[in-house]
Amino acid sequence: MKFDTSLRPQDKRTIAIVLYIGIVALFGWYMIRPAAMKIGELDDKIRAAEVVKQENKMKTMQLASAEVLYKKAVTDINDSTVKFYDVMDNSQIEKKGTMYILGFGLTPVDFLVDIRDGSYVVEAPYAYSGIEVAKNVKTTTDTSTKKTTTNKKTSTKDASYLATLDVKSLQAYYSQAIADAKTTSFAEVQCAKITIVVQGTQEKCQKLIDDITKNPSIRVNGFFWSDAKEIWAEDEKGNKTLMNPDYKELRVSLRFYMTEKPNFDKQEE
Amino acid sequence: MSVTVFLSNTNIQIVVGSGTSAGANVKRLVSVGIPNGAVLNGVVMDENALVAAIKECWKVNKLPKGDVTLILNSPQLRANFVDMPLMQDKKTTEFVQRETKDARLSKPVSSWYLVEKDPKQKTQKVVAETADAQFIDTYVSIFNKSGIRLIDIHDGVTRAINLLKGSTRNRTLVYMILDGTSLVTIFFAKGQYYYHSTKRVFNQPGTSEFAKEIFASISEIRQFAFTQKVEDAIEEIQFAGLGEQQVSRLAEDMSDIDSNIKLSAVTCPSYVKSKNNSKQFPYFVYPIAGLTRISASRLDIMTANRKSADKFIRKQNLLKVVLPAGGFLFLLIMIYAALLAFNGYQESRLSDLKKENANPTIIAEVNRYEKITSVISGVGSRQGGLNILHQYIDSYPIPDSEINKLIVNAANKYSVKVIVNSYDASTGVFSITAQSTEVEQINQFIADLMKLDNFKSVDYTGYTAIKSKDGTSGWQINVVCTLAARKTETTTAEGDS
Repeated sequence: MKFDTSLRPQDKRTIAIVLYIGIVALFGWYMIRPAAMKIGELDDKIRAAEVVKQENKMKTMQLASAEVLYKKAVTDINDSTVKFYDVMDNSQIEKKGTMYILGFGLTPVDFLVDIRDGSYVVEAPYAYSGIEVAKNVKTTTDTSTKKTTTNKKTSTKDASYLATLDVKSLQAYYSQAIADAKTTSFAEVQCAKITIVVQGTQEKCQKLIDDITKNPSIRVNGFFWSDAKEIWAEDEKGNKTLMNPDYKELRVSLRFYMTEKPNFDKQEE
Repeated sequence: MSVTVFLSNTNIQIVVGSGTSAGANVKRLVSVGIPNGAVLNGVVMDENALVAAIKECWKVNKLPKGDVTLILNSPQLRANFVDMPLMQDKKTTEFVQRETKDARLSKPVSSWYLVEKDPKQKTQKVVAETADAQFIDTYVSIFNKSGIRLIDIHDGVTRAINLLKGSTRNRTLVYMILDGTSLVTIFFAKGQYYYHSTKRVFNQPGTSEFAKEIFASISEIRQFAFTQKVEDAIEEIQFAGLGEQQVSRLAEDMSDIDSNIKLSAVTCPSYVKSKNNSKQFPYFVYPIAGLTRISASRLDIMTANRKSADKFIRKQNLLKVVLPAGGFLFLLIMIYAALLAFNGYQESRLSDLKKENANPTIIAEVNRYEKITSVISGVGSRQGGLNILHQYIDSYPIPDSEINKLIVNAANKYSVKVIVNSYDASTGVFSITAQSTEVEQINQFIADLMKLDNFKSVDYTGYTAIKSKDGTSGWQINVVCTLAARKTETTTAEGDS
């Protein structure tokens, strides 16, 4: 069967041009463009992989030095926390305190522990110490859990950045992290406010104060001396005897510092 | 009126006349010599000499300058009979072009004309002529320069075969046409054309050696006929190109060689009308053959050449478009191939990098490093807080018995009795009560206290007269000592904030 067309040469030329443009366009769109895009994607992946490679190389090279810095940091923080008590609940604090008082031959009259919520202490320096407190930092011992949590989150966020630091920068970052801690809440130390009232001789009471002031985990926030209420004993004949001659009553207000000791062995696991 | 020109190596033969339905009507025959070597076997060797000869011939003989047909016997113009199925002219052209394709020609031009057709058998026979375009252009140019319009070019032998075929009358015979040293032998068997050959003769006509050469050609034809199983004996030879006497001499010589051979001069066929020139026919076989009318079913070589030139131009124009387009497409393909190759290379690089990054030893070390950095980050903050806490705690004065001793020692100088009342770290106030029989003693005691570094300030709130149990009267003053900050150097880890 013969296929007869009445196409003019101009029509044939137009069809050929359209077909050619179509072929070129299709070839460009479906062959060259995806190939070029794939190169772009591969470039990105290679660049990322090379960055990872460089980072890995740097990290492996700096690992020994980082270990040294790590040991120093661990040692420092252990040294800084070892003097504080482990975190205790009120009953544990009361038992420990009562035993302590009795150990001095004193009679405990009152033992008050404030209700704690597990927040970290925001301590202030002594008023005449000349130490400048960072601005916008609360000087009360209010809770600061939120602030601490935020700080921790930031640290986590910075972990990826940290991972790319060389040891020199890591050292600087460690120092900067120390410097950036503007309040005591970063220490993750809890504080129990304790008020005790004891009775005994002035000498024994003073010994109690002296001993407490030597304890680095307790700070004497104040005390008040007063005469103890006299206690008289009467025998069968009606003779009265003063049972607590020269007894003093001492009210002491204390700051009792506690913290969770860091356990790096567990963390590393 | 048509003019047919036959160019041999030595002569220009011109026939003026017209073709008829059966043959030709010859009006005039002209033959002039051309410079030696100007034409060799149809190939122009000296164009200027040939142009000059043609011009002179036309001028002298006052010949018509329009519609001239050129007849040539040249290896550059190949002609042969082609049997083919009956088909339309256009298809016939395509068939002929396909069948006569010659790779040796740079620009081949093929023409054809119908010789006979058999509608019952649906076959046709055509003469296909092929030459290089340059060969044709050369002759067109020569005749143009001579002021003559060339309308067609044909092979002389095939035209002669067609002319002579009519006079065979179903006999078996051989025509021999001598043109200079070129001898063309044409073999007909029972009126049907079978074969022809062209060879050069080396001996002069009229000699026995010449007769032997002629006989050798006849023997060749006989050999061919034998192989073709032609039953009729080849005995009748008609010779052209020689005068009557020379033909008679040749006939005698031939009968000496083979008594069966009947050699005679070609006679002018009845369908070739020539009033006074019929005896000249044997010398003008080719140009007269060229004068005969040919079928309208044809493609003349001039048209074919022009079409070929047009086709060539079209092809060139097409190439001008197709080549850049094709080149661009090729470039795209090359770009694509290059992209693919580069992709492969990049994938290989990426694979290597991934392998390196997945090395278990490296991963373990990297994990360890990252662990350290993350721990150090948290530890640093906490260490900073601890440093501050220690600094703050250590800044508070120690309100122990050492303070009491300092106060008591100062009091003892002035017979002042001291009672410690309280201490408040938030204000630093260490409150005491001083008692003495003399107010002045207490004032001096306070003055001494103020000299001590342990106190930031010492103040009192006034005095009260008192009477002791033993009845002694005296004075009591409430002294407010503000403790100085502790003078201890705080050692902190890293940063000493």
